[in-house]
Amino acid sequence: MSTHEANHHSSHPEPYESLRTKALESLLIEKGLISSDAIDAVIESYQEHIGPLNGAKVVARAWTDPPYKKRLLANGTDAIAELGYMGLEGSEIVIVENTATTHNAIVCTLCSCYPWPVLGLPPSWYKSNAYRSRMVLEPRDVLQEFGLDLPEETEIRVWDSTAAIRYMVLPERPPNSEHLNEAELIPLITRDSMIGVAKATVPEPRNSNE
Amino acid sequence: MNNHEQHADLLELLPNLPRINGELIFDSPWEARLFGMALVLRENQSPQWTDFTRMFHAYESNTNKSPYYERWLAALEHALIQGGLITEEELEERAREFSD
Repeated sequence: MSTHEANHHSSHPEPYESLRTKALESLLIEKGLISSDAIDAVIESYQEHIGPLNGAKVVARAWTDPPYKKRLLANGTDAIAELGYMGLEGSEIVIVENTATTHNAIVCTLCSCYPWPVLGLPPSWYKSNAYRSRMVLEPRDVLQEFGLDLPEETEIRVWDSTAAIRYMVLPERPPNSEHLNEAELIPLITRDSMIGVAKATVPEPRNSNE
Repeated sequence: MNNHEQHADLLELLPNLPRINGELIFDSPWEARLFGMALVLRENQSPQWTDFTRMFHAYESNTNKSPYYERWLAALEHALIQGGLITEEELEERAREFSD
């Protein structure tokens, strides 16, 4: 460990790819073809919007702020806009809550309607004929294939998205997560848990010596 | 095109972009910079974006596959040099300066 620290500045040559990338960027900037800010903006845009990060932030807020959760379930579109996520013209987002007795999942039987302002781009299986048809007919089997075994007594509700209404699942807050704050909860909230084909990740038990 | 259509379009074009849980993943900061540079060319509707994607696909169909963003780097360098925006010599020279 300490050797690594000591060597950090002297004997770790920067990789070839990193140097070439820096050289490219500096030449393009010098020639006025590109700006550093534009590169930052593009990276940020793709990191924020291609994946489900916004949805995870919404869920983490709902888990930690009961009045927010109430607003979210009453009017998903407005509550999501409170956090600054918009861009779904002419359609609303409805949040369906998982509980100890009810499990929700989303599908689009017609095409691939998806709540992209919160979940980004759908996974390819979401658009497959198999998922679109079987999720409605035999949801328990499909969920099992995703590795989600639900007790017989759990009611499964499948929500068919349309151009006008897109659904998103509010997963249950997992056990062992009581000590985590809003930011620490975000990584537990996966895309699949907000589609409803998985539960939120259960964190490692806290070290009792701490 | 709105953001979503642009992103969807990119994934159609580059379906193998390394992702985990739907999010783009970059193993090193240079991979993110490289991604950003190519995507700015796309936003600027630069012809080098088209050249880049053509070359990148040529590398992708190549059986001797190097890691994703190494191929990305090779394709981008190639497109910029062939398009006359930079020269091989100045790129070499600048990279050498950064390594000192």
